[in-house]
Amino acid sequence: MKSAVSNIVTAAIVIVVLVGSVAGTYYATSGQAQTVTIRSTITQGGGGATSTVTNTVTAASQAAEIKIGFITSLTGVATDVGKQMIQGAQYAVDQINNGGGLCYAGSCHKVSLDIVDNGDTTDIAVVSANKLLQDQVVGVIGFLYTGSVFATQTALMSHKVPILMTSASAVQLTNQVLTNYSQFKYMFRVGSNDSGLAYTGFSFLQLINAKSFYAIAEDFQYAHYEMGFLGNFTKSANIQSLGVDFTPFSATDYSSEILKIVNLHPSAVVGSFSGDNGFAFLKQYKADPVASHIPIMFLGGPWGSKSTIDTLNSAQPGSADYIVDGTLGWNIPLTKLTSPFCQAIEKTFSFCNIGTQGVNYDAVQVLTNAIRTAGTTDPDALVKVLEQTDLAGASGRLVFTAAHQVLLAPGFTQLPLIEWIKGSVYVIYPPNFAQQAYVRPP
Amino acid sequence: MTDLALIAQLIVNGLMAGGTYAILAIGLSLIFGVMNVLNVSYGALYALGGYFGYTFSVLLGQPPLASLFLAMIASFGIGVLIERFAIERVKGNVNSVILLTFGLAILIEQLITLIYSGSYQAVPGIIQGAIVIGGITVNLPRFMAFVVSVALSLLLIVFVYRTKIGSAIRVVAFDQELALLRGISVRRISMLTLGISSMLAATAAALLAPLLSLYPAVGWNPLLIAFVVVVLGGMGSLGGTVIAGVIYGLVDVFTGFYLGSEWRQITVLLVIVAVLLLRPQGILGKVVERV
Amino acid sequence: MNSRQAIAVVLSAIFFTIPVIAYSILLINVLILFFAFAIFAASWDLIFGYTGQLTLGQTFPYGLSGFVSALLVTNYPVPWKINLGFNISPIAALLIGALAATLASSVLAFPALRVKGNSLVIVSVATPLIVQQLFIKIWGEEGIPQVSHLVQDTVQLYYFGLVLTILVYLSLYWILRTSIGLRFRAIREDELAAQTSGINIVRYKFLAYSISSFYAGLAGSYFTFFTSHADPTMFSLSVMFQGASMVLVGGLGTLVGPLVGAFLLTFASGYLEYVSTYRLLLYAAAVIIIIMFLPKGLMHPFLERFRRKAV
Repeated sequence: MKSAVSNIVTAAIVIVVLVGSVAGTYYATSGQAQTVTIRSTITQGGGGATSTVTNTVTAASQAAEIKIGFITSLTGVATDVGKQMIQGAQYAVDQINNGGGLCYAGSCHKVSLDIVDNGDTTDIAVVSANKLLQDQVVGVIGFLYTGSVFATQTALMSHKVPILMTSASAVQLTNQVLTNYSQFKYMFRVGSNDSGLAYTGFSFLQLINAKSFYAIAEDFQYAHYEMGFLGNFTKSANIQSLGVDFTPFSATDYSSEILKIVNLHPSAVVGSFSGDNGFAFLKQYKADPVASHIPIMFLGGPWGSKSTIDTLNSAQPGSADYIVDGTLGWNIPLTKLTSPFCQAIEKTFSFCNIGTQGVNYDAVQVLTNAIRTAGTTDPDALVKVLEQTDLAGASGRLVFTAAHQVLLAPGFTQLPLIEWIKGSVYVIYPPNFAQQAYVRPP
Repeated sequence: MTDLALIAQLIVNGLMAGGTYAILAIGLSLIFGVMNVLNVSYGALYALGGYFGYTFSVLLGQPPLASLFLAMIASFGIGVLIERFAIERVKGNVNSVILLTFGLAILIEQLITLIYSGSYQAVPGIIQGAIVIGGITVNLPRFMAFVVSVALSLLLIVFVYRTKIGSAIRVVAFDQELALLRGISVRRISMLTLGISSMLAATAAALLAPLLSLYPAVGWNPLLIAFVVVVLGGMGSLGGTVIAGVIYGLVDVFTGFYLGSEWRQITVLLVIVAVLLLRPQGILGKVVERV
Repeated sequence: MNSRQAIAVVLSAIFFTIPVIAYSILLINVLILFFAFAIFAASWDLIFGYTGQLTLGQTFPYGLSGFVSALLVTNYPVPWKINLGFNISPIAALLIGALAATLASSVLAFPALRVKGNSLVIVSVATPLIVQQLFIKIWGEEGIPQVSHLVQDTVQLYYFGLVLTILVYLSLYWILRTSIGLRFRAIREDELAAQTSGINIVRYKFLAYSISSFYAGLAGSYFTFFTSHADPTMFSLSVMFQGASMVLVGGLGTLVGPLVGAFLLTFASGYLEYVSTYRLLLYAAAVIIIIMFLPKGLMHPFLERFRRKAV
C-alpha cells in the first residue's frame, strides 16, 4: 500500500529530475548556438553553391552562401579538441566574410561552416556525413577519428565531395589516393599523419642521445601505426626498443605498466594518448619515485594546452613538469602567418594551439583558395587546383605530396618539440627555432 | 630490480589494491544481502561519490579531508533517496528493479556528463607522493585508500555484528517476513543499507580519483570488480568478502604485470562467469538459495 | 484480414514508396537506423517480454554477427579474415553472421540456463563485455574497417532493411501464434506451473534464446553494413540500453511495442539535435518513468482497443 503522500513526493522528484534534464539540455544547446552554426539555416533551394549570377556589383549576402562541412567531436571524450578545431576554422571563415566574402567567377559569396558531430561511435559520424551531403556542402573539413573517415568515405567519395582531414592520421587514408586515384582523389590531409608524429619521437630520442626506449599507447589503430613507424626509425639508428604496451582506452590503473618501465629502466619513454585518458598515466608515472626521473615525451595528444598542464599541476604538483610533446607548429615563425595568427587567436581564446586551431584555419584557407583559383566549386576542377597548392599557412608552408598529404619536412609543415617546465612552454627542437635546451627531469 | 624485489613489490601493490576492492565489495554485499536486489546503479554511485569529492575540493575549494567527509555524507543521502523513492516502488518485481537501477545508472552517468562534461577530471588528493621502504615503493594515496578501507571494513563488521541496528540488518537479510514480525521496519533498514553502501562506494572513489582519473563512466569497472569479489567471497558473508577482495587484488596485479593490462579486464569477467556457473556459492560463502 | 493486419499492410506499402515520394538523404539514413534497432528491439522483446527471461547481453549475438559478416566481406588485411576466394553476396554474409552468432549463443545458453534471476543477468552482461575486450585485443579499438558497402547505394540498403524488418516481424508474429509462442508465454507467467503442466522448460527457453539471438545477429550485421565497419562498441552497454529502452517505452510483450519504441527514439535522435546529443539521458529518464508509473509501456492504452486475443 503506497500512501498518497509518498506517491506525490515520488512524482514530484521525478518531475523535477525530468524537467531539470530537459531544461538543462535546452540551456546547454542554446549556449552552443553561437559557435555551432546552423543546420537550421538551410537556405531556400538547397544552397546552390554554383550560382552563375554575373552581377558584378554584388553584396556578399545576395549571392548564394557557400557551406563548408565541418565534422568534429561535439560529444564524447574529445569535445575539447573539437571546440579548438572549430575555433580555428571559424576564425578563417570570419576573416573571409569580413573581407567581403569568397569571390570567384565574378561574384562574392558568404561562407559558413556546417558543423556536425563526429561522435565517439561511427553511426553518429555516418548520419552526420549524410546530413552534410543533404546540405550540399562544397567540401568537408575535420574528422577526428580515422574510424569515422573509413565509415563515411565511400558515401562522400561517390558524391565527389572533397575531404580535407585535419586530425584523423592514418597513412592508409592518403595511400588510397595512390592505389585508387579515380575514386579517392578527393581525399586530402592538412596536418600531420602517424609517420610524421612518430618522427617527432625519433627526433626526441636522438636529441637526448637515448640508447633505448619504452613505448606505451592507447590501443587504437593510429597508435599501432605510430609505434610501427617509430620502431622502424629507431632500428635504423640503433636505438633499442625495450617493448611497447597498448592499453585499453578506458584503462585507468597503470601501476603494472609503470612497474615494467621501472624494471627495464629505458633511456626514455614515448607515449601516445589522444585525450585526457592519458592523465592517469602521467600522474601515476610522475608519482613513482623512480619513473619520474626517466625522460618522457608524447606523440601529439592533449599536452599542447596550458590549461591542461595547469590542471594537472594543481591536482598533483609536478605531474606535468619536464614533459615533452611532439606537436604541430607552435608560436614560432614557421611562416610569416604563424605569429599574427597566434596573437589574434590568443586575444580571443587566451591560448594558441596550431595543432588544433591552426591546422583547421589552414584547411579552410586551402579549400577557399582553391575555389577562388579554380573559379568554380566543381569537385574535379577543385582537385586539380588543390594538388597545385603552395600556400603559407599557420602550420607551415602547405604543399601536397602525390598522396595528397601535406609535405612534412623542414621548410614546409614541421613538427617541433616543446617542453613544459614549471608551467611554461619552451620549444626545444629543431635548433633553428629552439628557445632553450632540453632539461631532464630532476 | 631483482626477481624477489619485484615479486615483493607486486605483493604490496596487490594487497593495497585488494583493500580498496574489499570496501567496494562490502557495499555491494550489503545490498545483495539485505535487499536481495541486483543494484546496477552501484557503479554510478561510485562515480557520483568521486564527483562529489571533486565538487567539494576543486569547485568549492574545501580542504581535501573535509571534501571526503562531505562526499560521504552526500552519497549517503543519495542512497537513501534512491531507495525510498525509486526502488521501493518496484520492489515486488525482480526484473523491474534490475531495469530501474540500470536506468538509474545511465541517468546518473549522463547527468554527471551534462553537469561536469565528459572530460577526465584531475582531482587533487589528500596526500601525494610515495615512500620507499626497503626497496619497495609504497604509493601514499593508494596506501591511504588501503588504510581507510581496512578501517571502514572493520568498523562495518563491528557495526553489523555487534550493534542493535546491525542485528536488525542481519535479520532483514535473513528473512524479511521474520523481520516484519519482529517489528523491524524493512523499509528503513533498506534505506539505511543503500545509504551506507553508497557511502562506502563514494569513499573508495574519492580516495582513488586523484590517482586514477575521474570521468562519468568510471563506475562500471568497479561495479564488475565488486561483483567478482562478492561472488568469490560468497554473497552472505562480510568476512569472506574482505578476504576475497585481498585475493582478487593480488590476482589482478600479477595478471596485469605478467600478461598485460587488457587481460586484467578479461580476467575479471571470466572469473565472474566461471564462478557463477560452476560454484554459485563462492569459494568461501554459504550456499545461497535465492540467487 | 482484420484491422490490425490491414494497418500493417498499409504501413508497409507506405514505407516501400518513401524513397520515391519523400526522398531525403537524412530520412533514408534515419530509417535505416530504425530498421536495425527495430529488429534488435524485437529480439530482446522475444526473450524478455514474451518469455520472461531478463538478459542484458543481447549485444553479444548482435556484435558477434557483425564481426563475422565483416570478416567475410572486408577488403582490409585484418587477422582472421575469411578469404573464400570469391566475392560473397551481402545477403549470404548477413545470414552466416547471424547463424554464427546463434550458434555461439546456443553454446553459452547451456550453462546459462542453469542459473536464474540475478546471476543470469550478471552472466549475460559479462559475456559481451568479455568478447568486446577480446576483440579489441585482436582488432584494436576501431574494429574491422572497409566492410565494403552492402550494396552500391543507400537506397538499396534501405529496401534491404525494410524487407528484412518485415520478414522478422512476420516470422515473429507467426511463431508467437503457434503453440511455441504459447509455451513462451506460459514460461513467462509462471515457470513452475508451466513445468508442472508438462512443458519442457529448458528446451523452450533454449529455443527462445536461439531465435532471439538470430534476430539480434541480423540486426548487428545490417548495422555493420550501414557503417561499413565492425566496431567493438557494438558490444557496449549503451547499445543494450537503447534497445531495452525502445521496448520498454513502446510496450513490453507486444509485437508493435519494439516497433513504436524504435521509431520514436530513432526519429527523435535523428531530427532533434538536442535529443541526439543527450540521447542516453532522455532514454534513461523515460525508462525510469515508465518502469515506475507505466510498467506496460506507452502503447498499452492504445492496444487495448485493438486487442481481440492476446498477442
